[in-house]
Amino acid sequence: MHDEMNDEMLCSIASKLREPVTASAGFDEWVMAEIRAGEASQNPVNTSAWTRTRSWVSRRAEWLATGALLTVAVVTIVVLRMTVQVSATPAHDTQATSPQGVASGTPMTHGTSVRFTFSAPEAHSVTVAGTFNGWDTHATPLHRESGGVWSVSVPLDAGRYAYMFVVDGKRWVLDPFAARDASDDFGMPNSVVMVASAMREL
Amino acid sequence: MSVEGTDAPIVQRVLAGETEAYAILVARHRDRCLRYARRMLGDQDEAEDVTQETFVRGYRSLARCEAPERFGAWLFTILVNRVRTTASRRTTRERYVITDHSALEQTLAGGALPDDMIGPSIEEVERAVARLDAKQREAFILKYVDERTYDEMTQMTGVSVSALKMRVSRACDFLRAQLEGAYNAR
Repeated sequence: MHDEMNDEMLCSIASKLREPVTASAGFDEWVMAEIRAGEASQNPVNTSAWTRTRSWVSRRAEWLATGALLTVAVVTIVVLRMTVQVSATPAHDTQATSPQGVASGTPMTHGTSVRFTFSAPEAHSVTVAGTFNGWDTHATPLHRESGGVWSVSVPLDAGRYAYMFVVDGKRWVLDPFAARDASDDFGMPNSVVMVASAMREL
Repeated sequence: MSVEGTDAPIVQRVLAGETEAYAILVARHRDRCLRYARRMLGDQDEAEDVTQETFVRGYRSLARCEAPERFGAWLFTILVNRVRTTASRRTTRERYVITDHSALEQTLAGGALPDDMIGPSIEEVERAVARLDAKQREAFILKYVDERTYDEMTQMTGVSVSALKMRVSRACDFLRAQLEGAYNAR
């Protein structure tokens, strides 16, 4: 028993607040309907993520422990033009921006290849996990280049994407040069990249 | 086996593609999540919105739940953050009103209160809780309403144990001062 709860008044207050709160009829059905409606584009099934052994609890400690690594990290996002064409009609250029996004202007007619690079000379592996790959730490590995720089190009449609780098399969590292999303569900920021159509004719 | 311990096979089924199994997790964790949101926000409709949103976000992020046996704690972390976000966007409009009309009518009529209404009403308690500093309210409700350990609270909030204890202590002092009169009057 904690000191505060030796207080009869506080016990009474807490007891009142612990009274059950009843949900409205249809509460569960609304949740499931919303999930079904978005299932096509937001499928959580991800067997590789399932096999990961890192717990969300330990992520905080690992996240903090990567401070030293961040001091040598040099990360850039380079926009490569038109590497993925999903429409036969050449119409618009697209670009990715970080940290500040550019408002989307036209319907997406082309993909954009966003190049993620990360300097980690002592790392054995680097991947990028984010909303574009279901936070799968295995789906998008970076390839080692000279000087300990790792990189990968990812085709992305226009939109806003949260992501983090994962070093050696366990350390989650923010992109120090990207915007951070302060409203992450897990109480920690993610890096954010905005991919927007620039409405510029080729 | 704890309630949360039984979540792992359900989470596995959902991740394997059995979407409908998620309804089991919703039913299992709904009441606890909703109570937290209601006590934090003081508004039933808003609490239900936030709790429903939390479940949807939980589904969409389920691949990030790497300790499925602790799904409940993981989900609660999302809830805590959604409640914070919602509270930060609030206007200053009054959210605490007397909604128990039978109690209100009895009070206005000067009638005797039921035996189980010793001390302040739940509405009075909620109003006092609403006047707490937001950080103190979060700490107090997690500790004494949701009955979490300080270690769990640290994992959910990212706040140190010592800071949480301080917040809880100050919240208790505040609530004592706010509600002492109501207890003495009855």
